[in-house]
Amino acid sequence: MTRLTIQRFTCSTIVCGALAMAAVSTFAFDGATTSPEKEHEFLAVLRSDAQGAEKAMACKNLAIYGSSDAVPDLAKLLPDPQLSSWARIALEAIPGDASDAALRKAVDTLEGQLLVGTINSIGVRRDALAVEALTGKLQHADHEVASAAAVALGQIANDAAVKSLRAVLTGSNATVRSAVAEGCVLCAERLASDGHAKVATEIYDEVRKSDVPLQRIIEATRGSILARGQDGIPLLMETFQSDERKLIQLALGTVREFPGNEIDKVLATELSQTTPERAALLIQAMADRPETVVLSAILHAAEEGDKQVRLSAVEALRRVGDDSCLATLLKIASGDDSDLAEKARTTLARLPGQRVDASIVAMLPKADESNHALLLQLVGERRIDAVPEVMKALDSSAASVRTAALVALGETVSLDKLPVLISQMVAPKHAEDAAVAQQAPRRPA
Amino acid sequence: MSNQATNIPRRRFLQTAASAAGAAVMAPMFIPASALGRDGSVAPSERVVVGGIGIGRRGGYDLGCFLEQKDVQFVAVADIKRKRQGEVKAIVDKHYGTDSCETYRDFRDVLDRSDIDAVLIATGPNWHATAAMTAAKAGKDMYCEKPVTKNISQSLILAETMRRTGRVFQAGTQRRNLPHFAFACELARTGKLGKLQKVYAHPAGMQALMSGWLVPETEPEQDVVDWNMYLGPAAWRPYNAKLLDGFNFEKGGGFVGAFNGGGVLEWGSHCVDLCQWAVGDCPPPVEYDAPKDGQLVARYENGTELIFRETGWIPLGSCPVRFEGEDGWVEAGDSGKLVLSSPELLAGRKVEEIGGYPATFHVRDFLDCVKTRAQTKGNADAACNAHIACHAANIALLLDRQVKYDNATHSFLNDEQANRLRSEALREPWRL
Repeated sequence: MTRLTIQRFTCSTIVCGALAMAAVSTFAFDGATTSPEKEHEFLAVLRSDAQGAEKAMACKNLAIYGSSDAVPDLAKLLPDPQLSSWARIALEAIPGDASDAALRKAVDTLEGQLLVGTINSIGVRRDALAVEALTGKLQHADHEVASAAAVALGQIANDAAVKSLRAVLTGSNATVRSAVAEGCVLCAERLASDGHAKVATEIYDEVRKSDVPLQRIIEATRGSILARGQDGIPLLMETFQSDERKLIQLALGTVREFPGNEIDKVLATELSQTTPERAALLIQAMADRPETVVLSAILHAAEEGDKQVRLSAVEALRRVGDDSCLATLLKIASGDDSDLAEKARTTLARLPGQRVDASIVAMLPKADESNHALLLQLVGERRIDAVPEVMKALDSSAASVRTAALVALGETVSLDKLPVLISQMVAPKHAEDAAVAQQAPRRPA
Repeated sequence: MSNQATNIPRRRFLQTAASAAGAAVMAPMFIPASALGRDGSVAPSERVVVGGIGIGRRGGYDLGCFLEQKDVQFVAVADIKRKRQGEVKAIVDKHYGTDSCETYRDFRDVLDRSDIDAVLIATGPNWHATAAMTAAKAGKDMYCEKPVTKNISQSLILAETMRRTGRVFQAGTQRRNLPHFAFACELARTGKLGKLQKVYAHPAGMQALMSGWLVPETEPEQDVVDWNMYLGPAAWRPYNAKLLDGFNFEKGGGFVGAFNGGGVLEWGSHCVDLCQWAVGDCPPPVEYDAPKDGQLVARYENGTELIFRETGWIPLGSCPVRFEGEDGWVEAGDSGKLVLSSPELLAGRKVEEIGGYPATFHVRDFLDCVKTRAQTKGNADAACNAHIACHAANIALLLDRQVKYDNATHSFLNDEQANRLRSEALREPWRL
């Protein structure tokens, strides 16, 4: 059995976050699983005068069954415009130094697109021994080659690769500089994931201050904020306060993944200071942090101020509100502004929190006429089992309350209490209620 | 005959540095125009400017959903087929009553436009992941049709790239925004069915299909069909018109004798995605048995089974799923209907009022998230997990034996062959 270290599983960019991928893994490689018979079969095809189609399929099979023995024959195909990509399918997949060496050697002789492809494969395999060769290609006259080398170095992301990339970040051709910045960010991501936040932050900040496309700056800014930990809050808020829309958008996204609860307090303060347009969006981001959100800030935003901010806050309460929001929402739902009232009613129907239903029922006896109908409507929409309380409302002198009560009964009455509703249909206390009562029954719960 | 990717000068991306939008932010659609002091119209500054990449049959449906939205301005389309460029332009121009939809052969020309906020990627699956990653690096948000990735590696890189670039990504898994599927998943996810035991997905075909290297045919002029661009990241092969069916070309590719990846990816990327939602979007299963009697059983870490099966479904339309817990079950399909073990699970609602299509909800969800920067329902992490489950199942199908997957290292345990199938080299010059 041969033990090989596999350092090249292709997800080299996955260095942090929910996936928590271990990009470098070691596992036993049992040479028997490569099936020497099959390897010989497909190698024979490569060594024959078979047509391209057969050789392509042989390459594909060697990706599974090939060993280092297959590498020389595969490497011969790298200069072939038709079969180079097929050969790299196998060379990228076959573990061991032989594939790395073959790809490195090809870098010395290939040009153009085929060289770009070979460099891409080296990046995928994260071949540390290729750093010197790739560094040399950073100055290549073909910008696609230089860009490929920069990204490959970013995938390798060892000390030497980092040094090479940082050295050319400010000096390279404008086209290549974007790729160099991408490589730098890839290095920084890996460093941050490996616990080297300080140097990662330095790299991110170098990219941020470079003359590179805005998207590269966005990536570096996000990385810089997160790598700083709690010290990243000022940069996050500075980004939110930017004059550039895409940076504002980045801040809104980064708010949602920022750790801890200190940021929530800062956001609550910012909410009262920023423009209404930004506040409306900030509220949505705040509400996407349900574990730590400062609810009082959103509730306050719902109560008064700019209409779009209030609308956003009322909307957000659907996700993070609780029974403490009931009074405010009921007031808005009964208010004169139809947009706000409608949104508040929808929020009330969906308001989370275990105590919301009980609170609504407790409010029923003391409700004034306008609120009474609304509360009964909520009993129906939220399917609250409160038949006795709803029954009392049937005695109300207000037709709107009696109507709401009948509808609520229709939504919630159980089979055993169905006669209550039927009696209202056949013998209502108020004759005008009969029609409503007849429409009320639904499928009994 | 073209046999190399187009050597286009790398003018790309640099032009994206300049933002025409300035500091204006886009108000979410839940804020009516009246609240912004307007008469109901959507101001140009609050429209999401969208470009299309590879709009064919499925993409045409998506395009219709986008055009319905008042806050969308669809401005450009790229396609390797000249005929399709014209067809899409005609639809868009007719909708707006203008002649302004621009057409391109190379999708990177769409990405170069700094006025475009987001792209609709509806190419064949061969291009989905590569185009999505290229778009993200160019600073575009995207709605990307499924299957999104061709292998496990692409799935992981997709999730990380969207995170790193700060882009909003919506996979074309529109069932996540259909109320009856959402209701069924919520029953499972919130414990209404009791402890989940089995979730079922309909893969619509567990056999491999071929789209390899066919007999060469005369290649059309590049301006008519850009074969080189069509191949894109797929390994080179000569032109053959049969391969121009982008819907099937290289779907879930990477397999010996199965360049098409089989049906697990076709509907699995929908049904398995719903199963993933039902189990709380946890990491994908850790064991995948060899297929047996028309079904393949996979197991999550907690023992819940994910079962790919072709038959045994209640006739509820295409793309059915079924969730079974200790206390109940629910089954749903594209008819918009649900069947449940007990009416109590409806909590007083009727199946009819829960509702099903249209799929416009999914596009609306994407556009809202473009504005608010929230996570879409079909976000990249969710798509990543669902696709890994499909790819791992495909690998068990191909190897015809059980494989075990480690979600910490994203590798198969002591399985060299399976591990080699996690990724595949892209043709030059493409990279992720």
